[in-house]
Amino acid sequence: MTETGKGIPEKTEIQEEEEVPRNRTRLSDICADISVSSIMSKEMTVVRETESIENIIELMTKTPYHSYPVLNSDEELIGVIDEDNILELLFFKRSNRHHHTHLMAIKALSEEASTLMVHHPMTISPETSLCEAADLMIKHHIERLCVVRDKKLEGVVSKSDLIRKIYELRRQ
Amino acid sequence: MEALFQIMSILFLARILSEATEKTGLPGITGEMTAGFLFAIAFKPDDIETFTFMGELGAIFLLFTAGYREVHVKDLKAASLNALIPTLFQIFVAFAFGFMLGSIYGFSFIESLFLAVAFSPTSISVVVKTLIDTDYLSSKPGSLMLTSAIFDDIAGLFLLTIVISVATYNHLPSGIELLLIAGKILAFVIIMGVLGWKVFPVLFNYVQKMHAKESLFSFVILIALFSAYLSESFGLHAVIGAFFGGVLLSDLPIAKIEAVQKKVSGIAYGFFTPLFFAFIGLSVEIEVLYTAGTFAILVIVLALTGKLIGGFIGTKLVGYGSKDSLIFGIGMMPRAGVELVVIAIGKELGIISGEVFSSIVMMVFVSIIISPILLEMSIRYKEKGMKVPEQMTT
Repeated sequence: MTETGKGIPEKTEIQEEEEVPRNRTRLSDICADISVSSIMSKEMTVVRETESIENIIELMTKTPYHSYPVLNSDEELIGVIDEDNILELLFFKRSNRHHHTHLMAIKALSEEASTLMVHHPMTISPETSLCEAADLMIKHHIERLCVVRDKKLEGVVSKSDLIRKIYELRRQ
Repeated sequence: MEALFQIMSILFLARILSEATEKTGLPGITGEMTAGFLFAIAFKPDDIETFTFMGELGAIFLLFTAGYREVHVKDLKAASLNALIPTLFQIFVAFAFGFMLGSIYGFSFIESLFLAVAFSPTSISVVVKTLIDTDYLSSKPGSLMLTSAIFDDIAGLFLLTIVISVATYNHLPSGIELLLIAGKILAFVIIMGVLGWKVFPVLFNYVQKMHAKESLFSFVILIALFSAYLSESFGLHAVIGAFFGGVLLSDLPIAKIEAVQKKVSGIAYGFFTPLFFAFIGLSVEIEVLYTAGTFAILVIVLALTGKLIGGFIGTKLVGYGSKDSLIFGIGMMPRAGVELVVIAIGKELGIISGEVFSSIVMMVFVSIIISPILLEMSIRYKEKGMKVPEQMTT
């Protein structure tokens, strides 16, 4: 029942686990000591809530990402738009009748990001460890997580960021 | 074994007939209701206790998923207040027609009230396809219909809450009784609000770290069942609580992860809701319709014209032209959801007769078939200046 954007970080922040003695040579223990803030992408392609759908489609053709964080005028993360949302919009007329609910119909009429976006993105805090981020991604099939502090987007961490970091660690 | 056979056969029939009706351009629920109806004719089952329970769970899941997947609080806030007047008018006139019909036929106060509430909801999804095909979804009456549908669902459930609470008295409640009803509803809303605001976020933060298999999915289902149970303990019906629980989870990111949504959708639309619609079909008494011919016809005519007239007047009042108002009124005619839950509850509580139940199911069928046809005709009439056939204006 909360307004979009409000309270998102509190809801999904991953709390720090209790400190236990670690084996500094074991990969999983090393990962538990690394926070996502050190591997997240800080250079992000974001979309404004008032951005037109046409511009977002154009953006998708020019960038390699599958999803885009949506920010309001206060730079707060308020949602996410991904390729599925755009495809559903473009092919709404062809979609099966059971997709023709009033919510989908409202989304089909969207002219800007705020009406089309998914309002409930999964977010984590910058202090979240690599292990916890990986657990979330594996358990719930999440491709990218938005890293948020005080509702403000600080970065994005994807599965490939995690793999890249693990690869570096293994080679050390 | 009998129960197993019933559930297996009905689910199979429901899926086959749902596919067949979808192919002919009708919504799948017509096939699912027909499946239950045909099963009753073919097997004349005596003991349907287990199946009835599954049907009740189906109603709970139908409304839980409606809240969980379809309602977004932000959309409600954004919905223009302009849509409120047409919405209130179409609900009020349909409600009044239902109550009037019950009174004319000498029904008890509470049975008339159930009939009135069953007249009130609208299922916009039935005509969305027509709106798309005619390029009318983005038109003024088209978007008004969509906004109105958001208010309509909420209003339908609100009326259902009131009518079930009043049903316990079986007469027009006194001032104190009304206060007691309002108090119970308010207490339930406050408790659920606090749970949704403070407890569920913390709970789900813990649940997502659990190692037990499918914990997240289990807890989403548990919230549905818990909310349903809690509302019953407050004297409201389980479906109200389920809807409320769904709305509260709809804004909780961890509970709305795509993978969990798909599982909830699978169990709801793949198993429980087809059983609910089949249960409705199975409960139809066709022989009752022969004796109650005139009543059934009046239910169909008044339920549809109530929406048409109410929608037309309401839309005119906010400044739309006659043709757009007519299109809006027709768009509000289809029913395919909440009213079936209303009559299922009415029957379960022993308040509405087989006549009323079967007539409402007939009305739902007729509305599903004729609403898209009439809507297309009215849109064509607007576009080409074609004359409206007589029956559409009555």
